[in-house]
Amino acid sequence: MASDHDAASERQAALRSELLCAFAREGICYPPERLDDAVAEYEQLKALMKVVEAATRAPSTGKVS
Amino acid sequence: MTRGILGHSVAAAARALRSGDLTSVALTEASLDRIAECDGRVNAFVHVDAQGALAQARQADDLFQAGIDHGPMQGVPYALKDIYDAKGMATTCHSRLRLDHIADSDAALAERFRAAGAVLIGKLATFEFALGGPSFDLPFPPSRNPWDLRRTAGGSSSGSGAAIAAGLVPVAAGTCTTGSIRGPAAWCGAVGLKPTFGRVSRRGVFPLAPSLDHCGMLTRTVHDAAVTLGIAAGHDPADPASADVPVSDYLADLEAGVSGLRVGLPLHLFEASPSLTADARRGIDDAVGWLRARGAIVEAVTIPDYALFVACGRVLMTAEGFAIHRKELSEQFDQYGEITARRFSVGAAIGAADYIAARTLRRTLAAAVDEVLSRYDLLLTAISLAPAPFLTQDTAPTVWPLQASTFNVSGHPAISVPVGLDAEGLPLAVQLVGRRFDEATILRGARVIEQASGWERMPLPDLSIAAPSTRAIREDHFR
Repeated sequence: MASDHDAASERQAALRSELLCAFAREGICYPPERLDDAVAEYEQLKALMKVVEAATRAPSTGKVS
Repeated sequence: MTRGILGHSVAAAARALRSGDLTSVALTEASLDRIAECDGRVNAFVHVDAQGALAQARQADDLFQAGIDHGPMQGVPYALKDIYDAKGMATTCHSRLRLDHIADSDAALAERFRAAGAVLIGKLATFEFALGGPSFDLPFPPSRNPWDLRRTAGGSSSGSGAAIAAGLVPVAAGTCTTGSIRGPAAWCGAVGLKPTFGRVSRRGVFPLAPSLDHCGMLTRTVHDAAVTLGIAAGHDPADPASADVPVSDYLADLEAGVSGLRVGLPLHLFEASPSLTADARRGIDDAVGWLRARGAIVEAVTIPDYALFVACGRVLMTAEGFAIHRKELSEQFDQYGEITARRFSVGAAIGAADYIAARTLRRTLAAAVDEVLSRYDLLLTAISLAPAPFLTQDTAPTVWPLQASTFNVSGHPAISVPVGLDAEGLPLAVQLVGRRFDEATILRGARVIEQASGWERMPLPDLSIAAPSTRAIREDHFR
């Protein structure tokens, strides 16, 4: 349980770091008190990007599901 | 209430205007009166141009008097989602950032409707920049669902769906990036037509995600969807995505029925969804039965999983939306509503490789739908899996029980058509999808479903009760 929790915390920290880098690069001053919500939104988006990546890596048989 | 003059379809209004039983001024005044009476509870409009509308109505009546007829929309009121430009009116996009933006020309669709003699009543509520969600930190309140004022009208063409359902106007222009026409139409009991990508010009419409944005219409009837598409459709070199494909006569075969048509039913998209209610499933089963009883051949088919369309659509929309708002997010972040700022800002973290992967996947998904539609004339599938959520800030559109983005990603024409009411008295709907640029066949199928369901005779919802506060909705919902 503890290691699951640690892994989840690490993943959240990594997502937060990626998002903050992107905001810094783009000059977006995201309010710190709202950052958790943005990280949750990004986590969802990141999961969707992984779905896209996996689907486009599948052998090119014409079948995508 | 009964439909009466307020419930006139375009077809009925057109007949009455030509027979002399009705004037455009009377019809426009009825629309303005209904807005004055009800819109304080529904919040469909962000701007009503009563003076301008009455002037256009008088012009339309003068044309009728002079024997000049520009077609079925002449003298008929309509309204625009407030991301369409209309010359001289603000295009606010429901945002503080655009309150002072006055359009110096009409959007292509508004231009075509003006030439057809239609009467523009005003501008309709949306989600901020057609993204966001139902929000309470914007210059205008979110639209409420006329069938249950505690619930959202859907979005982002929220005001368009609410205006049709409440009988404020018979035609409302909407836009659709991942389902923003069919979603509100389904939840508000309107007909919502998203034409083929490129069929209707987006010139003069504030973009959300240009590779996914479609313009289309919400109407009371399928016939009106056909009439208005006939006006709106056509090539426009000023929109790079506009297709130079001949425009069909959408009324020619509208009553031709479905005998002999092959209809694919992608059951796997929705039947295992935990969101699907028994009533929504019954609505789909009813539609299958109606089509079969009228001679259509309905068979189960498989297209790629819905999750792939959602993933592809969200990545494309978020990346393209961020690109459009990049400058304002860095310079005027505080002017955005909280939900909109969050949903656009995360696009900053999408890399080029992820965006290109989504474009690649989109081609594969679209080809898979094309392949199925090479064997079937239509697809019949779900649109709303459950009733509209309650109108609270925490009802995120990304988890709403709708299945609409599939055909924005693939670009195929799709229509949401009501099939009845659920046990709570809320609208049920199904979705029909057709081959590219074959809107005529989806309209023909939708007409059969509309007739079989008896939706044309459905009274307007009762709007005599006061709208509950958001706090009351929350307390009631979580009790």
